[in-house]
Amino acid sequence: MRQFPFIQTLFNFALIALITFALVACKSTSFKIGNLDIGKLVNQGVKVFDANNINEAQEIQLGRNMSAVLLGTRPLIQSSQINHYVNQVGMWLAQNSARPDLPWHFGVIDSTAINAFAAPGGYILITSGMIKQLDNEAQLAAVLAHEIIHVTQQHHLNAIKDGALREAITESLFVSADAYQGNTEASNQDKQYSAWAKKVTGAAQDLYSKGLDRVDEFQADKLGIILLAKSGYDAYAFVDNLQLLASISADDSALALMYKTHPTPEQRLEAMTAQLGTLPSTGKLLPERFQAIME
Amino acid sequence: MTKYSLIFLLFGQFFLNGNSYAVTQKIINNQEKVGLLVRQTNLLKSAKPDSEVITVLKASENITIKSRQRAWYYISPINIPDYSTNKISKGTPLFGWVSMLNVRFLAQAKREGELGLSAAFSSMSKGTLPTVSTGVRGFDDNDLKNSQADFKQVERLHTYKVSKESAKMFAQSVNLLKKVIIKEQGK
Repeated sequence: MRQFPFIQTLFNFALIALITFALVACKSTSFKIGNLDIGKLVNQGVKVFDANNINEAQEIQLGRNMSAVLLGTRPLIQSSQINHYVNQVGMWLAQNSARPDLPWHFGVIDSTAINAFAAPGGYILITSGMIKQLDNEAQLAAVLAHEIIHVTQQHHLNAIKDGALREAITESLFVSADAYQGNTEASNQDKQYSAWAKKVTGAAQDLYSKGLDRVDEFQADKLGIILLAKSGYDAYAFVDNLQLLASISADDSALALMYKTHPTPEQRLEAMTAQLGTLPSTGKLLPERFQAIME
Repeated sequence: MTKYSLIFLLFGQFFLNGNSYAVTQKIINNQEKVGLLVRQTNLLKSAKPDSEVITVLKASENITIKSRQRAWYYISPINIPDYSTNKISKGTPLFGWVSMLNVRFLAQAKREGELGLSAAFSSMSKGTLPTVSTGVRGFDDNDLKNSQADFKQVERLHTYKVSKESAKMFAQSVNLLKKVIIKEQGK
């Protein structure tokens, strides 16, 4: 066909038209693979075909898969009371954030590591090792506020757009179109979803191991301390937490991943020096409520 | 903190600051911590930047942190100064306020069990932060790389979700609802 460029062009147009037609045909479907709403994905897939325009439904789906990777390392703690309490604190902060309507989920991972994680779509996880270091509700809220900012600023999504997950996101649209067109049997659909989920898992493992851009971490501190103050907590609890982290040796295994993925507490403290004078002097620490729950 | 040390602090604060009640409340509510000054620091009479300077403490001075008020720690240097100035007489225990950004904790209280107080104080004399080896692992990047996505745990996570209304009531119950105005930086 190389000798007939006109025919080649015509063929390309026909192919694009065919794919577009196939996708448009899927628009009204409520078809699902696993928990993935293929109809919804395809609906978006007609308009957008790359990772630069991930909608909220896709963002939440990604967050769910990425959280599953984190929870695959260690499960949630058994205490419903503590998990529920962390959700109350987190949801209150989220209501004062830029994205109050996301379906926010907060949980405590059973691990001695001192760390916390965010995933797109409103998933926040904190380790029991981190909670053990804290004395009051404001300090807990400070940790959650930092993570909430990662979600509201879409730091992980932006990292994904530039990284290995980009391919997986784009592929999800191909998978959904292919699954619909082929009207394939459930087992085959599951296989296709599994292939996509596996790619997301791999990219999530990579992202959480390497961490976000340092600029994102500093922004999460800067906006996180404001969110903490806006929610009525003692904003200086944020500094308390960094002081606390600075007091633990960098070669403590409990902090290994945090040191690998974040600027040092010293750098973070220095970065917020100018901001401290702008914070309100009011705000609550709430040590009693925190300690009553943790006992 | 013992009853006697609290009385001692009360008197110390009364003479230095004249505002003992508020500070005492903070002392009762907070745990004492041991810290280190990371730079030369003014020891102030009250917790505000334009307060009278009691004395200047040198970098790497070891201190006891009694309480916090906004961005200020109420502290006492562990080594009683062997000098006198026009404001303090020789050998008098010092108490006052320093900027919290000039302080680093030496032994985080919750990890003293693993670390041991003796190690904390030994590293204080060396001017370094103590090193701990917990022997108990959390999880690291190797665990992440070997992780199998656990969707059952995600479903469990979903069961703890709270509503907006519930979170609002939760905040209301401790009066967190007050509108807070944040000044813009540099204004």
